[in-house]
Amino acid sequence: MVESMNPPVVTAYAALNALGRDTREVLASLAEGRSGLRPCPLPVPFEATCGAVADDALEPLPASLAAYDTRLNRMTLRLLDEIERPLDRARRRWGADRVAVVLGTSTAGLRETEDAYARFSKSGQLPADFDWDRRHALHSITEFVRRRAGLSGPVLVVSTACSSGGKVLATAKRWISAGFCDAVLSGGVDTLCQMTVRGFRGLSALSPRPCRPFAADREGTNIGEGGALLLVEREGDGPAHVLGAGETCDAHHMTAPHPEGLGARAAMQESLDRAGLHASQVDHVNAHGTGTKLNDAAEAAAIRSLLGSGVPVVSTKGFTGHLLGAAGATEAVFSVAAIEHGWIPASLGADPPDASLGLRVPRTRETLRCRVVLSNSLAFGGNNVSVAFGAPSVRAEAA
Amino acid sequence: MKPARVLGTGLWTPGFANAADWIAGRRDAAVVDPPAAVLPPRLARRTSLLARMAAEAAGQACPAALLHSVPTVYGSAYGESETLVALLGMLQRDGELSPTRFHGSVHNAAGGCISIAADNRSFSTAVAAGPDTVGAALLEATALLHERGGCVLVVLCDEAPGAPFDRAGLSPFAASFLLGDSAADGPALALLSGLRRGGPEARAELPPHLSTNPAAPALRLAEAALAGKAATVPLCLDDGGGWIADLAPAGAAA
Repeated sequence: MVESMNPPVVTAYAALNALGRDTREVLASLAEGRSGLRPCPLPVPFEATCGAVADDALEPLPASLAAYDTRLNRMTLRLLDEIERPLDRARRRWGADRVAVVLGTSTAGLRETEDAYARFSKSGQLPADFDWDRRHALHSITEFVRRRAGLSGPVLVVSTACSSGGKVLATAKRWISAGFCDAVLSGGVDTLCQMTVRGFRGLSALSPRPCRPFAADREGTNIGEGGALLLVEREGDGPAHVLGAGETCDAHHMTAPHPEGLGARAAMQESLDRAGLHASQVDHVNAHGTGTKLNDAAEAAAIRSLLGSGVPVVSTKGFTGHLLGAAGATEAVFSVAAIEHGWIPASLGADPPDASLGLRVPRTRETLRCRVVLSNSLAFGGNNVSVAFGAPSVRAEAA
Repeated sequence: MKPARVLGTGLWTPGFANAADWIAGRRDAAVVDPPAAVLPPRLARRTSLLARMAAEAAGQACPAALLHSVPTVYGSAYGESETLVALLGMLQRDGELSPTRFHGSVHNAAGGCISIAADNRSFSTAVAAGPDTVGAALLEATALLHERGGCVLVVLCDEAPGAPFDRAGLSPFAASFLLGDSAADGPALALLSGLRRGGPEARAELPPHLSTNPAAPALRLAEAALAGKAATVPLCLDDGGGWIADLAPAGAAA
């Protein structure tokens, strides 16, 4: 099942979340071990910690796109502006109709829909500017991006809850390989909203304090917001290649992972198989690592059984919170940055680590020449994805 | 794109229990709830209409044995919108959200349910593309066939969200297509020989009660596949430019 095509290249990326207003700030906070988690800014009747994007980092959409103006699309605008130059170059190189848009989101414009419904409950009327298709629906984000960036290639929203932002990279690779396009603007964006914060609380999955993935006394996750974009091209110069991806289901339970992490393990195995890699070549895993008892135990079992106990495994959710549909794309950026810059972040909050997990979880930043990194995202519905990123030298060996 | 063999199709909408009844115009007022036999009764009772429609359509197009292993693409523009509106109501009442409703609100809820019921641990995705959802889901399915061969199941469904978001023309509708890349998979109804982008001509002609349901253009593809003749099938809900499918007779396989 090793794929013969040269693996596509990540030629540019951008991230926005609680760690900073742009990619440089985000990566600087990650390097320095500064968490973005703070008391939840939304009015909720319980103690909660969240990873929120600074309000003053966001600006209204231009008047011509005002119909799409949501917090989600304001964050997306910020990300688009950051990669404007490489995106413009890709559009000129391949043609606007050969650049696809494949984005993950789980909330889409739900934050504005909540407000609109609250207004309806009080007054019997939705706000005059509420628009189900342009603000609420999943395709609000792709329509906005396509218009803003002047792209006319194929478009898709992937929405598989918390694996959405990882699966977009699998789709990007697949579409380039099938010849549907030559480049894909991929990524994921999600916003904080009442529904997700209260919903995860209702599942007893939230920690009131900053989350501590892989720690012995971890008590749940925190919800975060933000997003990331990755420009993936058929050929080009970039810090990393998308070597492979594995996509599986647990077929076990809607919210609880398979206790032995069988689906997560199968996703990692498939990712390596498609990339033509052996487990011993994996230098680092950016884990899903939500900080719930069940997720971390199941994912650890999966990693340990496939990769052993020596590979450094990091969850970055102690920095950003769980970005849900944007988690996979955000952590893809962290994985590519690890390859590019030669360091892996601390797994913030993991001290003291849960020894029963049998993983090597770095508690401080480590200098590491990463050539192959796996990025895992695991979701409701038992939906799993693992994406393998590799340094350009890995590609040269495989060719 | 390499032609894909359309091996089966399924359809469910209130009044019509399957594609054959739809094509024959046999409306049955008793068809109000999809039987969704692929879901165990206990699971079916706890799932939404959207998930049960999806399960019903999936079971019609795909043999039970294959449902255990087939990669599946679920396409829906709006997803679990009835569940979402119920949750919005809970937010307004006392802010307590039903955990079952909450995890049932994700876009991949139907896919998750069906994978559990069928013990299917292979690929599953849930996608959306607004008025162009049918074509975009088919595109992802053909990319999967290119990537891994074998069969891929595509399930398309959308439902009425409920007040205050209801609109005319959005009756519940689900359809499905089992695609394969090899004659060894059995006889085909037709070949999906191409997917291409069109302009205003990509707009599907739909009956009034389905005219704003983004999954409903799949109706025309199901009809054309069952007719088994060469056909050009517009797949987009509006005239903003979208996907068009080209169908060829099954015998036209290379």
